[in-house]
Amino acid sequence: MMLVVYTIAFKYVMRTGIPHFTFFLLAGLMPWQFFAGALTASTHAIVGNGNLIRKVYFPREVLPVATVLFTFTQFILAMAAVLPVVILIDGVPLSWVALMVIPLALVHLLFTIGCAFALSALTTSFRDVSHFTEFALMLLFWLTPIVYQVQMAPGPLKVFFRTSPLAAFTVAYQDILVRGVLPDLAVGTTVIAWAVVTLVLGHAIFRRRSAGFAELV
Amino acid sequence: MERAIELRGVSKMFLLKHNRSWDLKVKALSLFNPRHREQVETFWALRDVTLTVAKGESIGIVGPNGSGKSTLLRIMAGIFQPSSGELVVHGRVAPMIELGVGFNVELTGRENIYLNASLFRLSRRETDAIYDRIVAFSELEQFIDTPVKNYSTGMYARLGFAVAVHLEPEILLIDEVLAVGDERFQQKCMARMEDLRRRGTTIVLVSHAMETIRSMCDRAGFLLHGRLEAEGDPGKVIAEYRAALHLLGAEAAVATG
Repeated sequence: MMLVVYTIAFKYVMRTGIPHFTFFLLAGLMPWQFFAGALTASTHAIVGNGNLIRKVYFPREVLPVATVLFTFTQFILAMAAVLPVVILIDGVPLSWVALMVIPLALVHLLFTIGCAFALSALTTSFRDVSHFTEFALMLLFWLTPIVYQVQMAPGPLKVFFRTSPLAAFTVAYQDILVRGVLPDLAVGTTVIAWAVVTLVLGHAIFRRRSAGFAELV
Repeated sequence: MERAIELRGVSKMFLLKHNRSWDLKVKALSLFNPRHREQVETFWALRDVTLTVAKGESIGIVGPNGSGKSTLLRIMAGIFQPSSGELVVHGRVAPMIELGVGFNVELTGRENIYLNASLFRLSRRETDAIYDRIVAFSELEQFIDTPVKNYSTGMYARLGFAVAVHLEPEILLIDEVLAVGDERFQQKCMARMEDLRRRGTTIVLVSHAMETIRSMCDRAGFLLHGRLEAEGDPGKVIAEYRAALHLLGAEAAVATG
């Protein structure tokens, strides 16, 4: 749905002139929808299972991880369904490099789990974290080169892109799928470094707070 | 004596936050506006409880409402962390303190058995092995592929009990078990509990049914206002509990009279 609307808006109305726009959009938008969907759902992962948490002991990590994995499965299935159609219609030659999307998606998964740990834990103390998350995701969507190319952004935004993990992931997906090249070293390092840091930090936050979950939910 | 559960000076404090805000927004406002500030009161649900449960022993916990019985079970299960004191558990604890908790009402009885078993870290194959016995015990063969939301209260409780007692935990924690089913089923539950006892399962039982405590437990503990007031032979502890109840009743009568 979003894909169709954005295609019309940016390809035909705004005439951005990005080659293979539908495919370009798909490469950035679908991973984004996975990320945004997983984070939104993760804010309810602990709070929404209060009854279980108050009455059964189990590793609390299960809840945010399961939430993210569920969204991830949807993402993979959606990719598998939509990708061939767009490739056929848009006529993009796909190279073997496209297979690199698998390790990239896994790194993206780890990064998302890290964020989900932090958000699900914070929501136990502050319920409006879920609203802030939705709002932040909306802002970040436009601050991520999904419907436009990095090159089209003004200078200050480019600086932001160099550090933003969301931009790095998006660019990596676009490189691999659309341009058929491996992401450059800077993007690759950014992506992996952010995934590791987020996972470790997110889990640390989660660990510290998880002992008190039963009293807060 | 081999020990199953050791509690050393365990206390549990809850913060009662009046005017508790769950919003980051309000929290930020409260920095400037004292009207939004929360008042914190402490409440000790458990105070300095020291109790050792031997392996294979079954112990009953009695006490009036709000005396800390469920908090004690939750601490044993690992759901709550003690505020101070130490807890050592040797063996696999059934991690649930209420029957049928963790059931998803949209799923069928069969699916819920597997779900509940997975909370207990049983693999699919391990669950397969006990599945038939669980269903037979619950007497729900006919309804096992029906979503649990269509079960009656009694059916739900029967399935919950059947799962809990067949997971073969080394330590079983149960809060008010015998609110389950009709009289005949209750007797079946008692028989099963006896069976578990004979096979060396450690049982911690919270109940208001004094008869159950007397017949099932080797030992009993009496909690009042979070303190372990008495501990020992079930008969004696129950007598003490009853005496205290009378005293409380008399005090309340004086206070309101």
